[in-house]
Parts: sequence; C-alpha cells; structure tokens
Amino acid sequence: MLTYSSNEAMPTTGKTVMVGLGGVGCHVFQLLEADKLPGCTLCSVDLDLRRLEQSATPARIHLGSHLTHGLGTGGDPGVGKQAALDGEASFTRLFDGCSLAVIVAGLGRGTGSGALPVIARLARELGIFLVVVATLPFRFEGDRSRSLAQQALEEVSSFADIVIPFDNEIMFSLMAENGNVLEAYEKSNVLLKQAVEAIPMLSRYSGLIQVGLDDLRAVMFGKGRCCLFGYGLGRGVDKAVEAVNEVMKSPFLQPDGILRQTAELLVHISGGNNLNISDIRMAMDEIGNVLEDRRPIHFGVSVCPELGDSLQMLLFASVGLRERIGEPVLPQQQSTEARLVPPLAVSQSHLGSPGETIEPETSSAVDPNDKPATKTVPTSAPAASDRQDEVVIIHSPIDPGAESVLHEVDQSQPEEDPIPVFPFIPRPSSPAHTPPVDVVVPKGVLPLDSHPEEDEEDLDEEQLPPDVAADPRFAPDRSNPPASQDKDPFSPQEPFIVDGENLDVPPLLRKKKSSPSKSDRP
Amino acid sequence: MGQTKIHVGLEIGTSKTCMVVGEVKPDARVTIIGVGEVPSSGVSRGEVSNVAKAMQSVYEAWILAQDHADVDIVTVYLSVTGKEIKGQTNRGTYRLPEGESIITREHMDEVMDIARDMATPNESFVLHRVPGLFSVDGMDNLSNPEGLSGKTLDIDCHIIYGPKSRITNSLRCVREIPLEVEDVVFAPLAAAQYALDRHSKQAGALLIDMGAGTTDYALYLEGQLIASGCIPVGGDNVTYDIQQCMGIPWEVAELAKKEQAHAYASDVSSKDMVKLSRKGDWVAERGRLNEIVQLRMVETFKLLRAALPNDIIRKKRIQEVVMCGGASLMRGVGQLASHYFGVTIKQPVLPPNGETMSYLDDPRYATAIGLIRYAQILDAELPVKESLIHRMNPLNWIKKWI
Repeated sequence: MLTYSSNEAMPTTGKTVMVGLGGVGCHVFQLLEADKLPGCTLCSVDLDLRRLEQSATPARIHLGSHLTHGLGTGGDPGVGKQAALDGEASFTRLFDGCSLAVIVAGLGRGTGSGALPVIARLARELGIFLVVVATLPFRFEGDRSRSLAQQALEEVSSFADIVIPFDNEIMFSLMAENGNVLEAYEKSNVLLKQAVEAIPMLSRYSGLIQVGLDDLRAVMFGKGRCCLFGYGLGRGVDKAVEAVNEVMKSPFLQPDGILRQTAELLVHISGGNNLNISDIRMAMDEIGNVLEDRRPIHFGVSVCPELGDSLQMLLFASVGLRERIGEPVLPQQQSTEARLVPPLAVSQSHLGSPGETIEPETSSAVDPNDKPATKTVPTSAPAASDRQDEVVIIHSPIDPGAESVLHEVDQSQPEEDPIPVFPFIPRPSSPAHTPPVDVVVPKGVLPLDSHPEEDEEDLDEEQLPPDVAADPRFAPDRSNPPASQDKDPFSPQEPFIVDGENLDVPPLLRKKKSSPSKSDRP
Repeated sequence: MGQTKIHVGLEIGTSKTCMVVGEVKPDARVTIIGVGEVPSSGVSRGEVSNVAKAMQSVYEAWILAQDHADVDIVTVYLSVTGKEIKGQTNRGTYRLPEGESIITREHMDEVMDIARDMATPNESFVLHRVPGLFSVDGMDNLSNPEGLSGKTLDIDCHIIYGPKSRITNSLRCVREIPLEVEDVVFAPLAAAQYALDRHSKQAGALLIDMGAGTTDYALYLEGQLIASGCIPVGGDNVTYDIQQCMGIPWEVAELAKKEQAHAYASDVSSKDMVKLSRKGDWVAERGRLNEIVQLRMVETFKLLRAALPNDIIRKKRIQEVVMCGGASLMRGVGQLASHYFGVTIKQPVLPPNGETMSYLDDPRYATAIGLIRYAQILDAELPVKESLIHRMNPLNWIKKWI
C-alpha cells in the first residue's frame, strides 16, 4: 500500500469523488448537500433503479441493468459483485482525474458487500487515495449479514487507505431502550453523513493547526477496527462545553469507558472568526476529563467564518472490533441517560427553524428506502483559512442556526485516562456469548464470532440453542436413565455444508434456530 | 460361455462391509452362495477415513464369505461412493466433413472420442465413461447409425470421476489384504444393474440407494445414464437427528428410527407417547419423532432433486423411482418420496412376522449384488478377460448398458 505523508501528494490537488453505494450510501448522500461540498463530485451508485432515481446527486451510475433489470441485488453479494465488474468502465470514467475518493456503503446485503470491494480495487489500481465509510449491519439482521459484512470489510481493507467502519450494533444497544427503529436507522445515517462530510474537509483545508487524512489513517489503523465518531456543534457562551457534550452524546461514545480503549484520537475543532484559545482549551479540558491519561491526540484547529459564533468539534477514534474488557456491560442506563439525550431529540429541540425536520425513512433492512430528505441543516465547516471563498460546509442534522457550543481544547493538555470501552455492547441476556455449559448447541448455530466452520474439529461438543434449550419439549427427559456416550457418526470428516448451512445439524434444530416456522410437511 | 462363473462383489459401506459371492450359471441366472458381512469401522459417509480399521473389516468379511460360500476368493469387484464422486454428461458433436454424408464407423469413433474427452479436475480418476445413444441430425436414440445419411452426429457420454486419493484409499484396503480388484464401480451404477431392468431404464427411472452414510442416485432415461452422484446424507443422519433432538442414546435412537418412526405420518403434532426401546424406559412423543425424521428426509429429497437435471424433473419424465439401501426400509419413506417426486415408488419392505429375507430381496445388499450383475454383464460381452482400459471401449459398452 502506498504510504502518504501530509507533505506529499495529499489529495488536495485533483478532484474529490464521493460515491454513495447501495441503499445506505444513496440515502446518506441525500442528506448531504452538494453545494456545501465544493469541488466534490457526488455520485450515487446502485442496482435498484427506483432508488437511484430518487437520489438528487448530480452523477448517478446504474449498475447491472442487464443483470437485474432495474431491480436490486436481492441481498446477494454475488450479483452486486458481478454488476460492479460489468460497470467498471463507468467507474473508470468517474474516477478520471480524481485524487481522493470516498465511498459510503452499507455492508451485509448485496450491493455494498458485493460491489464495494470491486470499486475499491479499481480505485486502488487507479492510484486514488481511498477512504471507505461502511456500516456493519445490526445483529438482528442475522449472522449471515454480519459475516458477509465482515468479509467485505476485510477485502476492502486491503485496497482502501482508510476504512471507517460504523457498527450499527453499537448504536442499537442504546437506541433500543428509548428509540424506535426508525430513529435508530436515521441516527446511523446522520452520523455517517457527518463523518462523510468531515473527510474532504480534513483533506483539503490547511487550517491553523493541521490535521489531515494521514492523521485519520493513523487513528483508524489496524485491522478489524471499528470507528467511533462524534460530532458536536456548540453555540453561545458555553459553546465549548456544549460541543463536547454533543460529541460525547454520540452513540458510539456512549459505552462507559469506550474512549479509554482507543489508542489514538483525532479531534478537530473549528470555529468562526471569533474562535479563541479559551474556547479551545475548554473543549480539550472536557475531553481530557473523559480520557484521563496521556495518549496521542491528533488535534487540528481551523477557522471558518461561516461558522459564525459557533464551535464545531469532530472526534474520530477507533477500537478493535473484537476487543472486550471484563464483563460486557450495558452502560447503566441511569447514569448515561442523563448524558444520553437522544441525539435526535436534541436536534429536534435545536431545530428552531421550521421546516428543517428530517423525515424518518421507512426502514426495513440495512438499506432503508430512500426518501428525499428535506433540506438539511447547513453548518459551516472550516475551510482553508486562506481560502475564504471556498467554503466547505458540513451538514449536520442539528439545527442550522442552533448555537451549540464546541468546546475548545487546550492543545497543551493531552492527559486523558483510558476509559475501558466495549466496542460491542452485547445484550445482557445474549446467550450466544455465554452458552450454558450443560446444554447442547449443534454446530452451525453458534454465534458469528466463534466461526463455527472452523471449530468443527471436535464434533462431540454440541449444544442446543438456548431458546430450544428452554423449550420443555426439547429438554432431555430427566426421568429416563442417563444417556450413554453419544455417538458421533460424522467425525473425523468435515461437516457437510451447503450454502453456508451445516447439514449435519438436525433440520429441526436449524429451523428452531432460524425461525419457528412450520416444517415442510406434505 | 458355458460354465458357471463365480463373481464376488465387495461393498465397504458406512454401516456394514459385505462381500457377496455369486454364482452365474450358463443361463445367466445368479445365485448368491455366500455372504460375509461385518459392521464397518473407519468408514464415514461412504468414504474410507481410517484405512487400518476398514482393512480389518474387509478382512473379516472376506474370511466369513469364504467360509460361507466355501470358495477361495481372490479377486473382487469393488464399489466406491462419496460426495466427491461426480457424474457429468458430456455431449460430443461431430459435423461430417464436406462431401461426406454417410456415417461410417470412423465418424462414430470420432464423436465418441469427442464426447469422452471431458476435462476433469487434476488428480481425479475417471471411473466410468458411459456412452448413450447416437443421434443423427436430431434423430435420437440410435444404437448404430452406421450407414445412415446425415450431417451432424451427436452422442452423450456420462462421465463419472472422483478424486484419485479417495478412490485409492478404498483400493488400498482391499489390495493389502491381499485381494485383487477386478474393477472399481460407482455404487449406484452397480445397484442400478440389479434394481432396474431394461424396461425401466428405457421408460425413465431413478434409483435411490439410501445407505447409512450416503444417498446415491442414478437416473436413466431412454436407456441412457443421464445423471448419477452421491449425497453425503443417509440413515445415520436420521439417527443422529433423533439422538440430538431428543437427547437419547444412539442405540435407542437407532431402534426408534427403525421401528417407530414414520416419515409420512401427518400426525406430527400428536402427543401420543411411544416407547422408544423394548424395555420401555425411553419414551417420546410420536409426533415429534416423526417430525424429526420427516424434516431430514424431505431435506434429503430436496438435495437429491436439486442434483438432478432440472428439465427432466420439470417435464416429469421420470416414470419410476426405485429405492434400495438400508435406510429405504424406514417406514413411510416410500410414501414421502412418492409425494415428493410425484411418481410411483418401488420401496422394498421387510417381510412381515420377522421372516428373514433372501439376500436377493434385501435392499441392503443391492449394491453388492449389483456388482455381481455388473460383472456378469461385462463377462457376457467379453469372453476373454480384457484390461480395464479395453473394457472401457465405449462401443463395447453400448451393447452392455442398454
């Protein structure tokens, strides 16, 4: 992989292309506003013609017109991949003259998981600096979605310079209690939008204290990282504190101590012309309170007149996807509830100006149907301080005129403590993580993380899925004499796997695991 | 050929290893004169997984068969199966050169070579090349088109191949006894020689050999072998399912499967309790037991159907389905298969009152007896013992396989 340093060909020359791929990508792009991202070419890419037609981006690529005839992939990444391969010429044209590409996609179903690696490879071959922003599906979408998403992510990691994965599951564990599912998806998309807007801003401007894509890469470095992103906008006297609070309210930063688990942080603060040191110091103080030890913070500041009196703060960090410290903890809802004013609720209150609501989408799967969102809130973002006319505006769903305050952070104060952090907040009752010792789960129904296919060596350890175990009909009849050693007729051979399903597992148990549907009887 | 010949068929199966000695009389009748059968070990899903154990089983079966038949057994016909063995039909088309319009033997040889020449994966061993019938300019089912006028000559050849390594494993078990292997035969082919007659093969017949570890199938249409293969799901899977879902010992599950379960019962929600073992110390709901078996059997049939050529299924060209193999003795399997495939099923049934079946009627020995029949057919066309390669000459096979 080519290494870039901030002095060399950082993609400030050449144009920036932003690609929204699939349902999630197109939807996020609808939340963006093209004229707020000057110099960027926005392009929606999809197989589903209907969805594509609803997107308002200036450029659109319809993939797989002869493959699926305007329909989507139907959740099949193979179709997505084939469509992308067929459409390589369109992408080559799109990426012509481009130096930075940002691709936004939702992984887990067809278009994202299938087409994204192809496009990423193409961008790599063209020598473009590639940033990928991807979402991982919710756990309730199924193990197959999760594993497809992981796979696609790994493939993409080898091509992309920066990969920013957003794990919906992290948000969901918090939204579940107080938000409905529409809000959960909406929030996810909104955060994506903010992150996506932040990237070209990071790349192009040269602020007072510069932080760029190389810093972002350093923060996101490492395989299997999951992005923590926070965005805050503060106004008024306490804009610094307000902005930091906003940032901390980001669902990704909610789990107690999650920030402590990060290795590095990227913090970017921007404000209007009246941005002063005390604001910055206040903001960084707040951050420092949260993270209580010395750790590298990539810190950047810029001035953008459009922000006026407000202070905007961005925070990027990453944690390992599979790290866990101690017991998985759903953060005490009481303590976080005070902090966790649901972001949407906050934005509602801040949305003083009428007509600035963002309509919730009818979300069904990973890719909620796109509806053209109403005009999103423009917030100014710091552009190049010496390029006053070229303003990169970053949108946030929070009220355009809201005076949220961005905390100013004192750069000289990088002390922070590592807060123990759980990238995943498993449900307390999630039996998949702590299978009861004395029940039996057949292979193939183990959770995604434990890679059942690789663990097939000892077929003697079998356990029933917990819901089946709970079913009294399946409980081994204790009144009967103890069972003799269970014979396993299939060892030492590999299990018989068809379409990802382990057919050695009794169909009845597989059915119980997937869905309690009626059996296929004549 | 005016003498009695002895042929021995050896099947190293998942549940049993059996060596069957058959005597072929001059009038082509086959009599079974001895069977040596031992429970298998070291065999999983139809493939040898532990050579030492499998060899031990073969040795014991050999001793028993020799004793029973009172002959010395030196060479055997061996059947192999496994999910890695695949059957594929390759079509060869030959367009007559300009100026020629009469089909000659050279053209037939030429098209045969084209049909037989199919790229197989590296390290694979071709077990059979079974040619079908010729077709000249669309006129099908010609056994000998020599002398006919036409422009295009076609023939389908069904090629059965498998990984060399796995087939060699089975061969080793036998050769190191030491026994000589006369020929290696794909199991459903052997069973088909015995279970299907010429009329069935002409009309369209599917043979399903359901053993403990595998379900093998062979599909004939218009006398030609169209499809064959192996699905690594068998009677052991059903027992395993019962064992896992109900938490009972293997032996009890096996007994339940054989005696109590019914694959086609509509009473899967019934709460009747049924005794799973003779002593009555294990009981379960009848409905649940049936449901477990049914789900597994339906899934197996689904896999089987998916493996068959789609157009043949859709056009319902299969007139008859014949089931053999130990697992086909499960109650209700025939009805379920009949429902699933939409045709009449010939399912073997155990004789009532616990009478012993003759070997010839017993579906568990269909493969082994089929091997003897196979040997007999080979013999009938080749009075002189030919090498394996020569016997593969398709022109000789055309007459044999019809």
